[in-house]
Amino acid sequence: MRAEGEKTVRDRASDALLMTRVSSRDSTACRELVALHLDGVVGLAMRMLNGNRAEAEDVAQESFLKLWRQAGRWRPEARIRTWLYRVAHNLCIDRIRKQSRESGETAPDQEDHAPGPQSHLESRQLAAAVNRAVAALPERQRTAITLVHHQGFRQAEAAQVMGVGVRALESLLARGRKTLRVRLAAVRRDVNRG
Amino acid sequence: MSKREQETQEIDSHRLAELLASYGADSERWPESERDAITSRLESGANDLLPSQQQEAQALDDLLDLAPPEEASPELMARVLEQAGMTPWQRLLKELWPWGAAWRPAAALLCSMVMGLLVGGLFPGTSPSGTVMADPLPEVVIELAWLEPQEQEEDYLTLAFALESASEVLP
Repeated sequence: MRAEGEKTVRDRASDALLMTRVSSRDSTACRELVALHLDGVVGLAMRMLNGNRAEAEDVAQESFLKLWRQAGRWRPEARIRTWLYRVAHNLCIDRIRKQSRESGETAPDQEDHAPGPQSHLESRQLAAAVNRAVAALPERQRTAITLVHHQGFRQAEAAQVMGVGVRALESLLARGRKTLRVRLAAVRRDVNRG
Repeated sequence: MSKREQETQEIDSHRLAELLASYGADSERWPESERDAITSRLESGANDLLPSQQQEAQALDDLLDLAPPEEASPELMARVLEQAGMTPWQRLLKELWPWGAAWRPAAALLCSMVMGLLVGGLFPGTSPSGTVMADPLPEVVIELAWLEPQEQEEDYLTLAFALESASEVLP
């Protein structure tokens, strides 16, 4: 516990130092930051925007532009990763809401119905089936799973990115994982057989 | 086991099942504050159901690992890094003119302005409409306007053909 706390303080100090270098347009620092976070931000945005790469890359570019602008006014207690993903998350939510308004639908948080997994899947097809099942989850559940499972966010940090409490995050994770367990049951049988 | 101990164990088992359902089987993803407790609880084997729940969670973790999120394209990385190296003023220009180098439209605008200033400065009195409006009408034309039509015709002829009198051409 104490070691984790010390690590957080160290991370914050190193983030503040990195942002000082970014504010003076140190290309190595910018490159380091992009290498650390760009893939993750694109991954989250693609999951949230249902695989739309063009939109996801726009969101990522806008998030980083905001970060570059913020560099000179960086607060030392802030974490770059949390800040960046929170900005990207909010930009995605804006786009989802805009699309819902334009199509005259309400923002969906009910579950879509994914096509059922086929038996005897090759590994590429297996990954595709998992991707389809994740994509069919309600937006908040797949965001929570992407942050915690794939991006390695800690409980409190993921909750902060999504703007929810820790218990709400746990509930989103549990519901998402339960749905995936049911939908991927056939896929799992296939894996066990193979 | 006392009733109190049994209650605590049930609550802990319930919480443990919740945590496995939410965060999966990898201890790295468990909340830091509960990680040690979960580990020792699982190792103690106090609840028969927990190993199967743990296996269930692990199986889903394995499946999720098969489908990691997409990565950024090299083009996006280049665009983001290009923005990072810009001054705020350059970024503003880029937003106003996102189709390429901003110096091109700026240079075209500047050239037009310079050309306009040069032409205006070098040839100040060359506007044809300006010349007509600036020059006073010859007195003879003004006088013509006040004459009777017959007299006007004669005077026009003398003026047009530089004659001494209109009688030279009139029948």
